[in-house]
Amino acid sequence: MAKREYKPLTKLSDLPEENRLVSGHRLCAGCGPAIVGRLATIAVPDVPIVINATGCLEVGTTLYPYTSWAVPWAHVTFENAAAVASGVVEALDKLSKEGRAKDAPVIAFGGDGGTFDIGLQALSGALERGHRFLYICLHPDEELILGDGTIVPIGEMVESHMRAANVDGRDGFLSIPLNQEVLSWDGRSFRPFRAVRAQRKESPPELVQITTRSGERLRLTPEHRVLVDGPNGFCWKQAAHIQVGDELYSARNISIHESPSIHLIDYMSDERKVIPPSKIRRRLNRLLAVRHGSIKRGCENLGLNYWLFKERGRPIPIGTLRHLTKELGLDWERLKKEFDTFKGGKAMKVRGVQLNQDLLYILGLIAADGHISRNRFMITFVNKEKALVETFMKIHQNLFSGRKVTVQKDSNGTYHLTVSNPVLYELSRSLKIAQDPKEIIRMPEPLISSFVAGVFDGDGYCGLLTHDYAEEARIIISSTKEMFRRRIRLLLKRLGIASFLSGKDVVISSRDDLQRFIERVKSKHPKKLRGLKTIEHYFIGTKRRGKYFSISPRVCGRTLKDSCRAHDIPVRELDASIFALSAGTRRATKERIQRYASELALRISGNPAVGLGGNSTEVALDSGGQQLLTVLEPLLVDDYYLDPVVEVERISSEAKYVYDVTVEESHVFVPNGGFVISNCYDNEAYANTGVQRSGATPFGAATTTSPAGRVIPGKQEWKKDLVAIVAAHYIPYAATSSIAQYRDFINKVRKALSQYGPSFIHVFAPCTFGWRFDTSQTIQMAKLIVDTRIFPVYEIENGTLKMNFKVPKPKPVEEYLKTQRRFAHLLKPENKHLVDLIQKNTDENWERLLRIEAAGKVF
Amino acid sequence: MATIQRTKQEMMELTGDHAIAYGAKQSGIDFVAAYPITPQTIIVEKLSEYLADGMIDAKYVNVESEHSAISAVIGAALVGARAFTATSSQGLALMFEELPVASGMRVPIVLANVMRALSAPINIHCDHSDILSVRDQGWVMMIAENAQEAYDQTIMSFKIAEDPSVQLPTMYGIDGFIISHSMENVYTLPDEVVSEYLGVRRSLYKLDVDNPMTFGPLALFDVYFEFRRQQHDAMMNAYEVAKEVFGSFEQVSGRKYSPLKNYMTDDAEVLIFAAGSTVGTARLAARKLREEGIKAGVSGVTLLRPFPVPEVMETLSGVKAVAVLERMLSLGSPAGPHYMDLASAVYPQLDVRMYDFVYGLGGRDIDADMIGRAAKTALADAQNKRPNEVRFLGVRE
Repeated sequence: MAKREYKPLTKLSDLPEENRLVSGHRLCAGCGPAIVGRLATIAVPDVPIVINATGCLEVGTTLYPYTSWAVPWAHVTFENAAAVASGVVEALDKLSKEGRAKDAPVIAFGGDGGTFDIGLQALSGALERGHRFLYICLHPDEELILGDGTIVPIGEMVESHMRAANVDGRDGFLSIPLNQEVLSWDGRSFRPFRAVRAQRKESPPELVQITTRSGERLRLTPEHRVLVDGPNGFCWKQAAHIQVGDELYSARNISIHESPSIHLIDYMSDERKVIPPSKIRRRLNRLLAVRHGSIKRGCENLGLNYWLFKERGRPIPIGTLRHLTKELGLDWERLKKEFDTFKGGKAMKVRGVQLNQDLLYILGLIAADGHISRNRFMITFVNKEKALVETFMKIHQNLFSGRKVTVQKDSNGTYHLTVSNPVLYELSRSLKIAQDPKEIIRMPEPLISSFVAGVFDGDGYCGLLTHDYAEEARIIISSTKEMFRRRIRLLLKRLGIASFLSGKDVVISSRDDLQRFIERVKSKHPKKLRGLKTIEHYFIGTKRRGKYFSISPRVCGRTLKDSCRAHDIPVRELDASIFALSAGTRRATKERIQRYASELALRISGNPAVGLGGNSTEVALDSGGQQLLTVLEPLLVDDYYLDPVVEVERISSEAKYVYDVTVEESHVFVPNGGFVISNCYDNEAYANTGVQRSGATPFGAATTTSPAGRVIPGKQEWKKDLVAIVAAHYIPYAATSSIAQYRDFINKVRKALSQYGPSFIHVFAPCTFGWRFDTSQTIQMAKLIVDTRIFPVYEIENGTLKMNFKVPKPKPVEEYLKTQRRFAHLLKPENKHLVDLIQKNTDENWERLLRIEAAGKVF
Repeated sequence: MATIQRTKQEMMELTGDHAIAYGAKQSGIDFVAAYPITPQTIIVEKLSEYLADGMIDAKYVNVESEHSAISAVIGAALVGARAFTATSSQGLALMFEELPVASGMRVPIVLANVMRALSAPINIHCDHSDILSVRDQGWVMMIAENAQEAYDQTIMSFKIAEDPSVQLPTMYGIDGFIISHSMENVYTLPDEVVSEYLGVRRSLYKLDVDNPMTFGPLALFDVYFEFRRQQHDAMMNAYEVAKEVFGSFEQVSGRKYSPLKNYMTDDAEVLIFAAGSTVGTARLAARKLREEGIKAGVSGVTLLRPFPVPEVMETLSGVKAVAVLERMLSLGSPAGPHYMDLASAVYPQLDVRMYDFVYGLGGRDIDADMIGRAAKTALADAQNKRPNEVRFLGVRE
């Protein structure tokens, strides 16, 4: 589908100069629909194709041989505008791709008959067809974090499953079942959930690339929804509509299913030789003899080198051992734990056969300031800090026996440590410590923190740094490699530390994250330890927080204020700033909200004022107080941070396919370990009851088929709530608008035509002839109906309703009814009860919409 | 283009519905919108299969009713797409509103109608009451006798409809179940041949942002008549164009079509006139009559609208009696639809006696003997100069 993005109108001169519904038509002076026709066709710069159902707008504008439409326009019959438009849109899509036609936005006009009644079937069908499935997918290189911490590009993962399932799609949508845990979010913490389906479809020509302030970046199809902080809590926005400044929910602390223990030998190559302990060797030999008659014959049968087994002390390649143990029916996983002597050059015994913190520490050092070489398995570590080099040496000597470590100092005062160590060499290579240490992400936290400590001690710096003329506490890990920086950020997230990217640096600067770093990452570098101490002291006794990451969601302020109101506690007693928080003009940290909440909870529970910051532990809270804390608690957890978007780009997609997964229970996933996006639903089911009215004529109005007679005073049925019906088709955009608010209408048309599916606008267009009011009063009429709240102006975007005009001081419905002769009979004293009924209905409808608005995403 | 001899065409075993779907697939359609109704369902199912397998590159919209189906197809045609739909009986009836609209808006869409009885009572089997009820709505209409003709007429319909001097929607019918669900040998043309034959649709007038036009305006008493008059000219042109298309199709496929299919009519005394698969049965009846010494001939209608008056005149002249077999009962009418077409075509130039026989309603079977008896009755009545009355073949009185 072609990309269409129309930004809201900023100035009138943005509108095209010429009208597209030109003068000379036969519509009445003051005709509301004429205004609609004019505004809607010039709302967007692109010329639209108009499909018009039978009605005034059609009949009055195309009396052959004249036509007032300066756009391509077709009228078919009364009830099928939506069906004709379906054919036009689809055929145009195909032909324009083949260069046989030029694509254009399509607008269908239907009056109340052509839409509400006889046209409802076609409308419903057209809406339903646009949305049977949400095809929302990711670029294939975006990475998934699987349940055990393995990181794999989503495309690769889905393709390998498709191959395994023997599914070959020709081009087109493909969906297969899956049983794979992926990193997801349950509203509080980032942890694995099971993905049960995977989907693949052809990539659209353009994708949206979103970059956040902390450095998360993701490429998505435009309709894919992202979790965004909204005024009422989190909400979902299509990637195409994400704007700079939108705050996304990014992960700070991610958990996976850790492997219990990790053995060195798993990371050695098959050629690496080990010297098996004697008892193992004897056991292998015995088994060979028993199974094959003799050791020699056994070796022959299995294709092994006999001399490896005949002589004691011969080193055997790991691959060979693995093969042998399998053939002999032994359990390699148990056996491998026995091997601690490796050979590469001279034999070398390793202390401990599992990966341990010290080992990860020196791997970190090597990753930062080291170098490995295949030539004699040389490991080099270069650093100016003598203490660090000595630490390296000490650890090395402790872990590995039988290798000489040489240290030399050069003319610049830099120390060069070298040692030949095949185990370290292989570990460094297979873990790709300097390029892409994603394997380390799977490891238990203590190992990760040691690795990070090593990297930090090698390449990091910290302290109070001047930035933007202000002093700030910072911990920085620097690297020239983009992938390495990405992995370091993920490793930090495994430790619950949020960081952001700034050029070549991974920066930690918020107080909580800095403190967590100091707690969990044990540096051994004397200078850096001093720097970390400085940072610790920097925060004592101050309210300084450092940049980013601790801001609470927008809805917290409102929640506090509403809670105050609900329990009759004057907001000012808590804190005057809550008004600003509630209105969204100020933001507070999670900590501050927590303080307010605790204070308020106590007050609600009837406890006397303690004062902010006072200790209020061990006091019982009643259910009201408890409820407040329960509501706010998930919003104030540290596991996520709000991450503002800094760039939204359209990029052309070079990928053939895009991918997605369906995650059960949570229905979201967190690609790249970054921010939260929705998954692909194929059977969304929300219970929704639209309030059904028949026909569009309002209650009590006199029409020719419902005249106000002696017995029956006008139409006895209420107006059908068509927008609710339409919204129940779960389309991306539905709205009401009044021509009195022309800018609102034009912007809604723009928004609607920017969607990737059907959209619907119910616009109030007064009819001077049918309702019988003076032709000069059309706009006043349109304004009055909004001011009396009879016609609420709202929009439902992605299922969330938003009232566009709050109408704080509504006029009574009578003011509106008395302006039109079709309601004249209602003003008679004997019909006062009908007017009251209309007022009551108006009020109830308004309240209903407010409730839907407060409920968040309903459709 | 060189004729593709029969031997080079691929013989496939296709049911009538499948043949239509196959023909539509080859015809390079851009857009299909259809709603399933027995016995047309196989057409839409097969098209869905082709689409799912990537064998056609068309937009397929599963609409929610036949009314929306034809509306969407009209919409697609208005932007220049080659559009196709199929239906039957009640579906055609639901589409009725849009049939004259399609004709009035001069969109060259093609509709395959699997002929099925109209409700009530509800019946899913073959008769011609659906297609014959819409014969005045300005569509070019053909009737196919078997699956081979169904395939051929699918392709020819696009050619006729899109002709610049015609630009009228075209429909053709096949007998429900009898043809639609029976498998026959169908010689199909290669894909490239059909593509070359039909080409890509080039529409003269369409919804185009670079050249805006208004379609479907209000035309009051001062101009409406002229619109219709132009449609009349288009329909008249369709007669010549249809014959041209029959000719060019013969060149491509080796199969000969003409507005009337005549069999042993040169020296016939009694002519049996029929439509659909009954034409085949009638040929058998005619042969049997000939064996008895009665000179019988069969005329099957291929081109129903525009009605081929010259061919009818030629065929009927010299014939003593015509037994008109009608698979529709036009209640309250002095005669059935075919009779009225024939009679109006030849009156007053030819003095031929025609007799109406209504048969096969709701799928009631018809056999050669019944047709033979009808022909004999017609001949006898003609000799006795009796007037026509609507008689029924095969009903239990």
